[in-house]
Amino acid sequence: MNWSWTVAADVFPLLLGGLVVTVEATIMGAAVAYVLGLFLAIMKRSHNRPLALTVYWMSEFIRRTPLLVQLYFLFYVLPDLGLFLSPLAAGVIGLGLHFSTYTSEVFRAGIDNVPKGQWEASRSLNYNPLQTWRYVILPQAIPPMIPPLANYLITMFKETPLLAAITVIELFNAANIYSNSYYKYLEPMTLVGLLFLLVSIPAAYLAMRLEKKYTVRR
Amino acid sequence: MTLSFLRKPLEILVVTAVAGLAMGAVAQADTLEKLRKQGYATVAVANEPPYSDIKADGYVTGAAPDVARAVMKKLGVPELKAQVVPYGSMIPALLARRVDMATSGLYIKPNRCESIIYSEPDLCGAEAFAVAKGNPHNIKTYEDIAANPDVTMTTCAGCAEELYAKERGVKQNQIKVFTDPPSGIKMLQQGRVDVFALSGLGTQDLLRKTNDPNLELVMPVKGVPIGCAGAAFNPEDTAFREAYDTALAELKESGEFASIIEPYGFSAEATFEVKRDDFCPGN
Repeated sequence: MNWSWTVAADVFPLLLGGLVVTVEATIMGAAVAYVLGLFLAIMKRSHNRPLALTVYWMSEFIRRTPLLVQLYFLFYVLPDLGLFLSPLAAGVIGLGLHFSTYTSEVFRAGIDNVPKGQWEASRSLNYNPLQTWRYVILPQAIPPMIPPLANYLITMFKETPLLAAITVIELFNAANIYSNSYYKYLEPMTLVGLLFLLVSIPAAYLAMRLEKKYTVRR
Repeated sequence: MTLSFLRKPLEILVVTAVAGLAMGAVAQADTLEKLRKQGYATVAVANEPPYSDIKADGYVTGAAPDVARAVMKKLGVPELKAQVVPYGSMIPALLARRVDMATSGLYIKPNRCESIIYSEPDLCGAEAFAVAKGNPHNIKTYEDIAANPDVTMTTCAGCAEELYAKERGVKQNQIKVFTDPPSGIKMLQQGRVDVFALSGLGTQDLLRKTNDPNLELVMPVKGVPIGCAGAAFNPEDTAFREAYDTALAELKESGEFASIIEPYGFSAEATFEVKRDDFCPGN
């Protein structure tokens, strides 16, 4: 098995195209995961018990089943029920939905960690709920959430090759299609690994910096 | 002479290493002997009926494995164990010796012959498309797909149909490879693609099982050659391949060959008319 630069040069443009799709899917998926996760966390805290329980069990269900199965469901089963999603849309929704159940736990923990006295203090200052969230709770809840949220972003990035199963041509699938036609695995898969590292190492470094920045207080 | 105490151990080391290498080489050279000893051969199949079919209990059948099983029995290997391998990965699997042979209707193609060796042809068949009822885009050939950039097709990654399409001008972005043939049919039913392309009998079998009145078969696809498959081997296993060919020829002569493949819908006549050299001279 010998490394061939010709093969590497041949496959590289295809991989760059795939990397763009991978990054797009990650960013859009993360947007879904963050927004939906925040709503899930708020609903889980609701005083309306049926609502809180429903949301709790729904997110447990999503969290305890494999992402790959969920992707197949979104892609192959939903169209039969009348909802037709493009491969990328199904992938973004699948990633976002799956990881929103994880991020919701981050949000929940962040909010729960604000000491009870802070809520009482807000009330004694006669703050309304909006002011309470805006000036007291969120400024204390958000900073500790940032490092774990950044870590989930990196995890999602590494999970994107699962989208290959529903025909999204992201980084891994681009390499796989090439490999299937030319029977070369060494160069395409090595480059895929390197390209993933190229993005995830700086991202991990950044996440570490964030962690340092936001955990020193208290 | 200060190092003389090292001599003995070194000698032993060298001798063992050489012997080990030699034994390794022998094992490489005689795959068939190894298979006889272990009593089974590991074969790569694609799970594409009627070419190859894995039953729910794991028993491998289908026209190509059945022929291989009969041949291997003659060669003294009673059992086949199947591994499902996508078409595109069969050649790497053979080269890495993850499987002993590929018996799955892997068409004999010049680009594949560069990497592996084939038996004489066993299964020949025409190509087919599956399209929506009434063939709305009027797709009869790969050239028709190439002519209309809005039309998309699906087929397996790295299989002959993908090659036919690209050779005839179909753009990469018109081809969405499926993970397995039934998923490809699903994509066609849901309108994700306009054309499903695969071997004639494979497509026919899928359409019969899907039994969807909104799909129809286009067969044969004009402008592409009849595809002929053979059992595929690691290029070092020439002796194994020769033995296989001899046994296969006996099987063809005795009429047993026809009685194996014809129930699956393949024509033994079509196979008898071609030779490996027609596709890959000197392979």
